[in-house]
Amino acid sequence: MKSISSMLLVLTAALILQSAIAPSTARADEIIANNSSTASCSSSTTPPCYTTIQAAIDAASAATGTTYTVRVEPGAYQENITLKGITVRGRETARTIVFGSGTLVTAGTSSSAGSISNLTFANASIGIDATNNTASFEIKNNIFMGLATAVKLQGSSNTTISNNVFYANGTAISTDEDRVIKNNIFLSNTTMAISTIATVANITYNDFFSNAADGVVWETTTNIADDPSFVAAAAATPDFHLQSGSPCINTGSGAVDLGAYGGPDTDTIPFMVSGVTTSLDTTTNDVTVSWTANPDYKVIGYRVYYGKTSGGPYDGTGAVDGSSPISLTTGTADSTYVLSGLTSTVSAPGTPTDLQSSPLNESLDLSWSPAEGATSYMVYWSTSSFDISSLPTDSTEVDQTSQRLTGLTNGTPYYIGVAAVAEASYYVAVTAIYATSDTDPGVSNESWYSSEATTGIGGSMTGALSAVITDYPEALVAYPNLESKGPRCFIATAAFGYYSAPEVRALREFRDRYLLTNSAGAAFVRWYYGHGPVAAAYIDAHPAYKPVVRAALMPAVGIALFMTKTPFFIRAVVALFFLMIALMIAHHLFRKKLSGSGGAL
Amino acid sequence: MKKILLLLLTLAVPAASYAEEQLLTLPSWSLELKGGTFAPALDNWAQYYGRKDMPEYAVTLAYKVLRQLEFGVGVGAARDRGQAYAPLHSAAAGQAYLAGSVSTKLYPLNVFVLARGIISENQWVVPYIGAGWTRMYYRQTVDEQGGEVRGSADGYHVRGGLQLCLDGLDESAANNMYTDYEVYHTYLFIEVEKTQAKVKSLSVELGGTAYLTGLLFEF
Repeated sequence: MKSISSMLLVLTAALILQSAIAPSTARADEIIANNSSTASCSSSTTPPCYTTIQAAIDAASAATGTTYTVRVEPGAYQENITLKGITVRGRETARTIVFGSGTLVTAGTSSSAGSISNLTFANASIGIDATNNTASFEIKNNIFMGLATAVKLQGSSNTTISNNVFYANGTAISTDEDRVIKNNIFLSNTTMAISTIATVANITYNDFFSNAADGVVWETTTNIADDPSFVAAAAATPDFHLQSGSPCINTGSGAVDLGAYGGPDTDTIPFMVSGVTTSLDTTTNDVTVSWTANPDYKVIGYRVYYGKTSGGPYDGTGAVDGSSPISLTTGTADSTYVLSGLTSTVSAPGTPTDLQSSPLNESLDLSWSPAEGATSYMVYWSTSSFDISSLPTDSTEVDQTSQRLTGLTNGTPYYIGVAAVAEASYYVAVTAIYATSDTDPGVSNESWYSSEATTGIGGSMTGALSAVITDYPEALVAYPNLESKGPRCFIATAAFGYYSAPEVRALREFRDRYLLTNSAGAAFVRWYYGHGPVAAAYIDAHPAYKPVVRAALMPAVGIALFMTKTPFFIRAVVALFFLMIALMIAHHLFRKKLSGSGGAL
Repeated sequence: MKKILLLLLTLAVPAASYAEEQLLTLPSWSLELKGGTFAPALDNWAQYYGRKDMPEYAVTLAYKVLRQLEFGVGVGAARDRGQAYAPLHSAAAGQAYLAGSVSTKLYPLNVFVLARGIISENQWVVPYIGAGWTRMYYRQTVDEQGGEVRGSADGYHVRGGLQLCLDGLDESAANNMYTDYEVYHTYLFIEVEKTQAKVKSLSVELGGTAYLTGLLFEF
């Protein structure tokens, strides 16, 4: 199960990467099944497209006049399919996966002819059940893995099973008759390879290796029992292509390869190249491209694509070996290539314009219009004014045209400027090829593009500074604004610098909750607002006094914080404490007075 | 409209099957458990909170001075989460932009008098109206900004609705409610409540219109 999960994860990522560039190779008599979320799939298109295999089969079955086949695009299909005599073919065997529970494919009617091919079946009770299907039915070029029973035949008098891989199932094939089973590979099946009660003569040209039991006594002139030497059977993304030297190469009936990638109907798209990285020689500006070699014995080489646009098109020019792509045809062993001669010159980028700031609590949201030729931007900020000749140390480099500056102080004005940076960057992808004749990745004889790697060449150039703007962060405001908008705490605001300072807010909250709620407190507030502005104006005019005033206000701020921020229980305990002290003092004074009067009150 | 009024009058008439049943004593208290939606009167609520109303739950307890008149007290709770708006210094007039999250909670405390149009203990539908004093407590926080704004505003409320007696649906259950819990009657009711409670120092109206439904137990 872990294997299928990993496989699906990798598959999903690869499909998203490739969905935008998938070429159309549909024939007129095909109906497409494609469950990719990025595909534009509609029954009204040509060819018709459905998001489930069963819907495509139903459409093909209902059609009159034309015999349609169903082509299944790469994807993970969690379905239980009834075949209805329709030929179903996956576009890429390893990446077209049918999984789920119960029986994945039922082909059990007497008239279910056709074939099912180039699919991977995983994790269910039964992969294909052809019980009672007496029509000519072919199961070919599939991979069966993790199934309790991969293929079940009973009364399936004309079913043939060829060029499949049965890996790590319980029972690979269960049959009550001597059916044609050829060119298959049975590896590591945990119950048995073939379970049958029949005397068999048609089980030929197969490879049985490392199964709990083979289940049949097969003749040894054509069947073998050798390690098939798959590329990576047990990997998270299994690869059942054959490596060079595999005993299954050309040893099948008709001198074809055994397994899912042999015979005339195999898919012809190599596995994607993985592990692509780039490194730069800063002296020569040579870019070394490295990847993990694909040991599939059919791989004759690789193509290295390069360009200046991320995601393609990879239409780079200027490398000494030629324009993109560069073909390497020295076999599977290649895993590096040096791109040399790439130009490192870069023009000065334009100047970012329309720099804007949106203040938030202790942060500023910045945005600006992109500058021509920019590959990134430097954002500068300071509490002092600056220009291009006196850039501040507070800066950050970003790839996008927006940035949030955080950790700022509310009420403090900040100066902000942005400059564009230009760097000669190249983006590289690698494909594996079976032949040099085809040049469309993912169509035939060439794999899909690998994941992209990038590198910057040479130095970078910083453009002119944008217009420097100023703004200050400020606390957000709730709706409705229930924080008092009444007259300011003039003196505190003047002393602490700004209206939303925590100390000022504490005093304001104390005023609203404890002073304005009673007549005496309200009278004091009225008196304060009558005289406070005079004092505040004096403090504003004499900033040197601000620290003194702040210190003088601290006890009031402390009381305000205590009264507004501590739970009622704490306040009650403290009040009780002071009440007890007051009672003790009163008691003490009373006794003192009593003793002074000689005990007479 | 006439048909509806006629139907209500018909329902208000005691059912024949209950007309002969007379309770020896009458209930003195009523307990309401209710819930519904509260739509604040503030015009821009939906702009900041995504919708124009919020869930409200309330409970009231009333003493019956007369069968048709009761005094009581009730408390409710309504809470909504939405977005705050960015500092006023950056926004053009009327163009404040949303940022951050805000939580606003309202807890209305109502003291009320309520009149019920009941003429028989077995009346199926009982209309009622009520009014009273309201103190609207509020709590408000802006996430990750610290400090909870608290306060209250005084005002009034009026409400009205219909109570549907459930006793007739299952007489044995109604009898059990009486014998086990001394609940004389159980009503399903719907009501509309309009509240005004203005924070005078801020000129912010915290009242609104509530549409509530619930169960009323008389005991």
